[in-house]
Amino acid sequence: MLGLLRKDLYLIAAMARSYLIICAFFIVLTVLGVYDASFLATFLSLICIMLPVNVSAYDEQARWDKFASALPTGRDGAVQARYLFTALICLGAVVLAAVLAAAIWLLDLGGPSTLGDALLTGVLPASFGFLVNAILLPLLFKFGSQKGRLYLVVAIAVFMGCVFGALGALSQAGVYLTSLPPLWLLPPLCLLTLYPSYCISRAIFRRKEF
Amino acid sequence: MTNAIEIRSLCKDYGDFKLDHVDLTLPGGAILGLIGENGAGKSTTIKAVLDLIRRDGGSVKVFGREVAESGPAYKEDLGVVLDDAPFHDVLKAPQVGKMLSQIYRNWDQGLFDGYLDRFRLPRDKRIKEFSKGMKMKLSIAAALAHRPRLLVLDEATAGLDPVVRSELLDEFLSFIQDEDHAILLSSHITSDLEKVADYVTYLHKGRVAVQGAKDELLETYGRLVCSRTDLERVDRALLQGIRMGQFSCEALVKDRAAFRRRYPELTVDPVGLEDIMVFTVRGDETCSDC
Repeated sequence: MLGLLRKDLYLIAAMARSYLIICAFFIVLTVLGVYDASFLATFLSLICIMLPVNVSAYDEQARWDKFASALPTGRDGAVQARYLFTALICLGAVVLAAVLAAAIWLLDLGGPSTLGDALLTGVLPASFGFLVNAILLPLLFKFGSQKGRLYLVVAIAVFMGCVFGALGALSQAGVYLTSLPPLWLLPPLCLLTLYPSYCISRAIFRRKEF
Repeated sequence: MTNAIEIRSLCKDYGDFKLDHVDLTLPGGAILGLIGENGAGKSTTIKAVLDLIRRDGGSVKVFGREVAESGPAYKEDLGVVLDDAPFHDVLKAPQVGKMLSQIYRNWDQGLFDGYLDRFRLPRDKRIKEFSKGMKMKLSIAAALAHRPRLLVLDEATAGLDPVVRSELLDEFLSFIQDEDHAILLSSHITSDLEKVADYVTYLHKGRVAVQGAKDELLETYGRLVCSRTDLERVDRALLQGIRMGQFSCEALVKDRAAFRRRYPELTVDPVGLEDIMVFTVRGDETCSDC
């Protein structure tokens, strides 16, 4: 499985330059105070969504899935590697967002009053990458990168509708986010959503015929 | 000794195409050539060996183990070359080696490097800059570098020039010098199989049309070239297919020796695998002039 992970890392290394330039551009704008840390963190989570899609597109172009299924790692190994890859890049984004948010707070470039809040403004949007990928990856395994992206838009719209609907309902019931369990729980909870997602993707990929 | 591959009554129904009770045995130390026209079921048979499809019936054993029950571990013993080189265009050959070294337990980096040298594959170029022949050589180097016992090659020589094909066929022949090794090779290029195959299975419309040891098949079948008048008096049960020309007729004779005994005055020539294939496809065709 590590070999398959290595392959994914090679693939993103091949497209790293353009991503690094864009990231550097937004980091500079954030440090200069043009954007706040949450914007940068959201941008990082967006990249975390784009990378698995791009890697899947590369795989489709090479007809890799068929070959990967013929390897000793089998179909499960291919799915495990893709989830490990996704978890790693999302964790990287969360850590990077936290470091940048802390740096902005330490340099007193504006934002929340406490370091804890500053870290949250970075970490929470970045954690969104886990959640979206938990929805996206089974769609990619089922439909491929072209159709999967379309279904993702629909899935996100439904998901966001549910979230905002639930928040509205909670608000009407007099329950506010601040009274819910600590926000620090959200990143690990988002990470955990990858597990049921993995089980779904594994079931999809096991049934796939080439 | 356990057979490398044993397929019994393999069935797969796609609706518009059906693989129908295919039987196939590949002993160790041998090359089995799988031939047939497009859509005859060659790739489906190979996919069944690699457990890439869900079967509708039958059994597929590799080195005595049922593939659907043994899990993917049996693929450690398999070297796989598919019709399209599966390595991504942006990768380089050494990266392919490093990646596969973490997948196969028996990966031999030195052997892989040796194949890169022998096949003259550049290490500093991305695969997108490789020719089709170079991509196929890379696939074969990757398939051989973990020292498999069975090579499964799906149209591995298709689209390659004769020099590269000859080079690869030599590689296959040296691979089976070890009697524990075997190769399942599907190909349209029957001349390649005539050079290297020990056994041939010809699939036609999802069924095994002709099967056996290659030398025996080439020895048994024959090509009758005669006039229409001569053809009219030949027992059709002895023929597999007929091709009518303006001045003469050709037919595939199922048993050359038996035919000669019965019709010593008619000439029966030796055939190649291509003749067997073409005549069998046309076997159903009847000619109102005949």
